[in-house]
Formats: sequence, structure tokens, C-alpha cells
Amino acid sequence: MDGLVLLLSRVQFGLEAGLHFIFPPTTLGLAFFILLVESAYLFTKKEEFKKLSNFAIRLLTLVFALGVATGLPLPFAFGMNWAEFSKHAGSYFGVQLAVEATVAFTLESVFIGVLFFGRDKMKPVWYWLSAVFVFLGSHVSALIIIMANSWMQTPAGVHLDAATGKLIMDSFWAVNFNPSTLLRFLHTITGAWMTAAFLLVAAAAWHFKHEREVPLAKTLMLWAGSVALVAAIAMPLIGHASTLEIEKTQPAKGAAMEGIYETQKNAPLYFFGWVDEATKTTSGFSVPGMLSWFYTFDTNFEVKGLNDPALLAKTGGQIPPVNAIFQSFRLMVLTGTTALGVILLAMIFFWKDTLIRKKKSLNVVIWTSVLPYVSLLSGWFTAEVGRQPFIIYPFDNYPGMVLQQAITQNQSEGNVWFSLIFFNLVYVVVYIVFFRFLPKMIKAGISGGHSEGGKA
Amino acid sequence: MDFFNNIAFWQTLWFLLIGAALFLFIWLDGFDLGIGMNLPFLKDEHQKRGVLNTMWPVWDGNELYGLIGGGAIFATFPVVFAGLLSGLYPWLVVVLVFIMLRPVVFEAWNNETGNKAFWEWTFAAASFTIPFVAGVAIGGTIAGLPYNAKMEWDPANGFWEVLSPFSVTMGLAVVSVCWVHGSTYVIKKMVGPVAEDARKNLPLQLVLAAVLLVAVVAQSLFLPSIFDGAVHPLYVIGLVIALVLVLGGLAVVFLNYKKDKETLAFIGSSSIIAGAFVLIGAIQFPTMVHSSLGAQFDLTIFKEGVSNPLNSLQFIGIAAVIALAITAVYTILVFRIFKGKVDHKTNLHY
Repeated sequence: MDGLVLLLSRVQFGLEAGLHFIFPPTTLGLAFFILLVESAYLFTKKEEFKKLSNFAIRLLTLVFALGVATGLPLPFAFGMNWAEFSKHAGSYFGVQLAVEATVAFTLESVFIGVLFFGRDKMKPVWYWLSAVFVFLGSHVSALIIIMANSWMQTPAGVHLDAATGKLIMDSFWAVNFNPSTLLRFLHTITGAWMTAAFLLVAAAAWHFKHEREVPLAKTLMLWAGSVALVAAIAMPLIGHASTLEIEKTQPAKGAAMEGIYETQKNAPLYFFGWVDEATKTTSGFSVPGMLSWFYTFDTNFEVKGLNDPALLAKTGGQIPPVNAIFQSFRLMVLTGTTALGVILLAMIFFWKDTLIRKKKSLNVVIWTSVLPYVSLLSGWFTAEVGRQPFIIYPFDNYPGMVLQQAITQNQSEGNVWFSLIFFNLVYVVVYIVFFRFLPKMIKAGISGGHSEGGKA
Repeated sequence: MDFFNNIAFWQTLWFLLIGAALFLFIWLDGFDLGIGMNLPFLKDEHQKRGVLNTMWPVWDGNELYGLIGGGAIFATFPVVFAGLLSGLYPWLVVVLVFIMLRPVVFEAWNNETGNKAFWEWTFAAASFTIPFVAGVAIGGTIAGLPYNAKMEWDPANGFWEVLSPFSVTMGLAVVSVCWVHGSTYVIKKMVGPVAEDARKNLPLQLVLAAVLLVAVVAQSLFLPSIFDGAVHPLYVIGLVIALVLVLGGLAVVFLNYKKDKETLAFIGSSSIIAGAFVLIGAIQFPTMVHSSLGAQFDLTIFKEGVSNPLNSLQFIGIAAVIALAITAVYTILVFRIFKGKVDHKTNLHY
């Protein structure tokens, strides 16, 4: 097997998925926010809610379109670059992607069209129902994809046929609701709501700073800020539950995230540090016993380390790159908690009605909207790099599939260079469009009155 | 309920459903692609916006059927999915790059305040390349691609193996049919100069499409992958139905495009596409991809190891039938909301 083809294919899929993963969480959070304010509009008939919804829908047009663009090569990559994976796991994975496309993504696409263009063409309750369908479509889509991705981390409900070596599914239920599905779904969705809410909070803060449409911006701040605050508070709790699940079902990933090599009671929790993978030591600022206590509320709990053969029995001695996921896990927590701190203070000042005059604080609030994105990406990185070198992790009856077994056989280097270069050129265009037009849309004002022309 | 546990039933059903999804893609997205090719040639911003307004609410739902077609192959015949995508790799990159650029162009064109020529030419290039490469790929699966005993693209053969006079003619034929279809859609959806220009162009487009379709069928008669000495009854039946649909469609468009019967003209161009798909299905069944290295290597749906096991086919079969029924209902409802004529003043975009 050609090592360069494998490396390039991994780089390509990682870049595609990572650059795509900016847009869907924003879409999910905007769909939730739109449903929230559309419901308020349906019951109160106040114009301000309609304006807020239209504003979010305008942002959604851009984010959804770019999400579609960046997401398109991903399902095809399974056939192009990971042909052996597709043949091996197609009986579940292919089915799952097809169900996502037919059940959820069509619903989302068609009704996003209605939200964009249909307000004047139908009764308010039907329009509200369209917002419900966009919410359902996008969230069911996320659930189905996270089911598939979770199955790659904890592949329950399958076994390999002894004679042919083929993957046989025993239960669709067990496959889809594998041990990590629900927590990872909650974790991702809450993160998505938080991310989009911070974006809308930034938009409100920009309006305060420039003293534009202040009453409307206050309503936006109240609603989006509340969503951001609640999501940011829920996040560490759900995230904590996720780490407990990882410790049980993917112990090597869990030990690497915490930089634990020796199996020990009273295991320390590192707040920050550095893992030296050559000497298998972790140094940094830590609190002894805190990790054991986090897992069980008991400092005597024995945490298994990466040097423990029992821990690596399932993975055949294989461990992921430890320092990379140790650091990315900490980056996720750091950016998430910083965002929580900022939104907490912002809402307190907003409550006291002093926020709108604090120009410097408003700048901080605006730039904080970047942090949830960093948090999302580093969390995703931790999860996916944490299952290396496997594409499907060993679990239960399933022995695991490593990347070398999953890659397309006999693919030429030239082909993969070609796709890597051209896909990424498109991604550059996508991000130029995103960074040019997203600020422009926000600065056009919540009610869109400050447009510089160019719109019909 | 014998058929329910008969894997051949599900394999056949999925052959038909995949064909149906690809038909829906060319039928629905075909008019977007056909109109898109004309975009840079329209006279002014108002005409361009009017044309874009005709597809704005529906194009992404239309394009989705291409994705569903691909997804359905992955879900039911993963070996074909993996084999085709890894073999046609560079072609797929080109198509995907343009499919990815389309939504970007929509957003950019709408928000751009400066010169929009770059976006318009990108859109036109995408609208030409997508149906062309799709046609070349379909032509390749009919004429034969270098699949070996492992059901993989044989590494001794380059990616250009898909190119043949037959497949290139097929690509151009798909482009020309989309061009006709785009014009009948514009006539149906618009009034004024754009619709008048479309009417003027239609005779030429129809002749072009007819010539290319005849060229495809004529070449197919000499393909060893299709004619192995015997005449298959299925091919004869398919050919008869296809001829009726295609010739009838060409005639219906020709007789109606000048009058106020725009809907009939659109039905005519739809019939051409339907006829083409019936013919392709009849030629190919039960083969998905012919092998140029020998008929024993053809990827046929009944071949051991090509399709997913029975429980997967049942699950996705039931899920897809329910989902498609629901999708059909709401898609028709949404098309009804947006029915009627469109111009540049119609404020479709906020």
C-alpha cells in the first residue's frame, strides 16, 4: 500500500470534514433560533419577532448554501478514497447516508426554500410549520450522521461472518443507538445551538456598538443571549457525561485525553501540560485525585493508563497520538469555558442595561463568537484522532478496522493530489464568500434596511 | 409474501429506484443546468435575475436527487459505488468541484455589488460540465469500463478509458437535452424578452438534440457490450417505448413551443428525458457497469457480493419508499406555492 496515498487521503478527508463542520452547527443553531422567534411571532404577532426571524433566515441562506457546497464531497469520498471501507461497511454505512439524504436532508432543503421565499405566499401557521420542518429536518439529519459517526467509535450490533469475513448487522437499533450515540448527539447539538447563538449575540453587540436599531438589537440580545447562556452552562455537564462514557467504552482514547500512562488510584487531572510520548510522561499543572473523583466521585477509583496491557487488549496495543488529543481536548474546554464566562458577564451587564454603552466590552462579545467554533473543531479533532489508527474502533464483537485496510487499493497519487488541490481551491472560494458576505449581511442591519444595493 | 424474502426482488427494485432517482435528477435539475448555460449570454442584469429567480426556490431540492441516486448505490450496491467512484476519480473531482460551486455562485451573485461576470461564467461552466460528465460516465458504464475479477478498475488502465466516441456523444446528448429542457422551462415560467429568445432558439436546440440522440442510438448498435449476437426481448421492448417517448416528446415540443401551450412543451421535453432513461435501463438490466475486459467481469445486480445482504436491502427499501412518498407530497405542495410566472421584479430573495 502506497503510504503517500493514505496520507493525502487522510489530509483531504480531514480538511473537507473540518472545513464543512463550521457550517452545519451554525445551520442547526439558526434553525432552532428561527423556530423560537417564529413561535413567538405566531402567538404575539409582534413585528419585531418577524424581523428577527427574517434576519436569521438571511444568514441561514448563506450558511446553508455553503454547508451544502462543503459537504458534497464527503459522501463521495467514501467511494473515491475509502473504497474498501465502503465495501466492508456499506451494508450499514451506505444505508445510513441514504436514509439521511432521503428522510432528513430533503425535508430541510425543500422547506429552507419555503422559509426563504414563501412568507407572503401562505398563512402564518403554515409558514410556522415550515420553520418546524426545517428544524426537524436539520436535527434528524444531524442525528443520523452522528449515529453513523458514533458507530465508528463504538460499533455495536454487528459481527464478522466467520467464513467470509463480511460485516453482518444483527440489529439496526443496536447499531444506531450504540453506546456513544445519544451523548454525542446531545453534546454536538448543544454546541451547535451555542455556536449560532454566539453569532447572533455578536450581531446584536455590533448593533449596540454602532447604535443601530437598538430596540430590535435588545430583543435579539435577550433571546440569543439566553440561548447562548443556557447552552454554555449545559455544555460542561453533557461533556462530562461524555467523558464518563469514553472512559468505559473507549478507554485508550479516554486515557490519552487525560495524558494518563500508569494505571493508578488517586489519578490526577491536568489543567494544562505537555505529554512527552517518547518517555511516556505527562507534566504540567495538575490536581491529584481529581480525575478519579470526576469519574466516580471517589479519589480511590483506579484509572487505567496507556501502559496497562489490559487497557490495550482490544486495540492490539495500538494507541492514538497522545499529546495531540491531550492538547485539543484542553483547547475545547478552555475555549468553551471562556465563552461561558463572557456570555455570563455580558448578560449580567445587559440585565443592568449598561452593556450597550461599554464599547470595549462589546468588542470582546463580538470576537467571542469565534470561540465556540474553535471549541467545536477541537472537540471533533479529539474524537476522531482519538480513534486512530482505526477507522472503525474495536468494540464488543467487532475487531476493528485500521485505515490501511480501508483505503482504496491501487489509487494513483496523481488522482489524490488532483482532488486535494481542486477541492481546497473551492474551499478557498467558499471561505472568501463566507468572510466577505457574512459581515456584510450583519452590517446591512437586522431589518435589512442598510443594504448597499445589489438586491432585488 | 414470498417476494419480501427474495433478494432478487429487492435487487431489481433498487435497480429501478436508482434509475428513477437519476431520472429525477436529470429531469428536475436538467432545466436548471439548461438555463444556467445561457446565463452569461443574457442581455442585462434584469434578464439574469429573472432567469435565476425561476430556479432559486427549487434548484437545491432538484440537485438533491443526484445525491440520492449516488447514496442509493452506496446503500444497496456498495461494491459498484466503491468501484465506480474510485475508478472515475478525476472525473468525479471535476463534477464535484462544479456542483460545490453552484450554491456558492448563487449566494455570491446575489450579494456581489461589483462585476458579476466571473460568477456568471463559473455558473455556465458548471451547468455545461455537470451534465456532460454525467453523460460520459453513463456512456462509459454502457460501453464498458476496465473492471477486473476483483470488481475494481484494473490498475493497468488510465482514467481516460471512459472516453470513447460513444460516451462523448452521450455526454453531448445529455447536454443538448438539458438545453432544450431549460428553454421549455423558461418559456413556461417567464414572459418577455428572455422567453421570446428561448422560443427563437428552440428549433436549433431541438435539431441538435435529435441529431445527437440518433448518433447515440446508432453507435449503440455496434457496441459489443450490448449486442452479443442474440436480440434480447427486453431491449426491443425498451427501444419501442423509448422511441415513442423521445420522438413523441420532440414532436410535442416542436408543435407547441410557439403557442401559449407552454406546459405541453415542458411535458414534451420531459418525455424525451424519460424515454432516454427507459432505453438506458432496458439496455443495461441487470448490469450496472459493463466491463471492457470481458463480459464475465460485468457488475450485475444479481452477482454474488455486489449487493448488500437482504436485511440491509429490506431496511433501506422500506425506509426509502416511505420517505419518498412523503417527499413527493411536500415537494408537489411546495412547487404549487411557487407556481406561476416569474420576472426580475419578483422579490424572491430578501
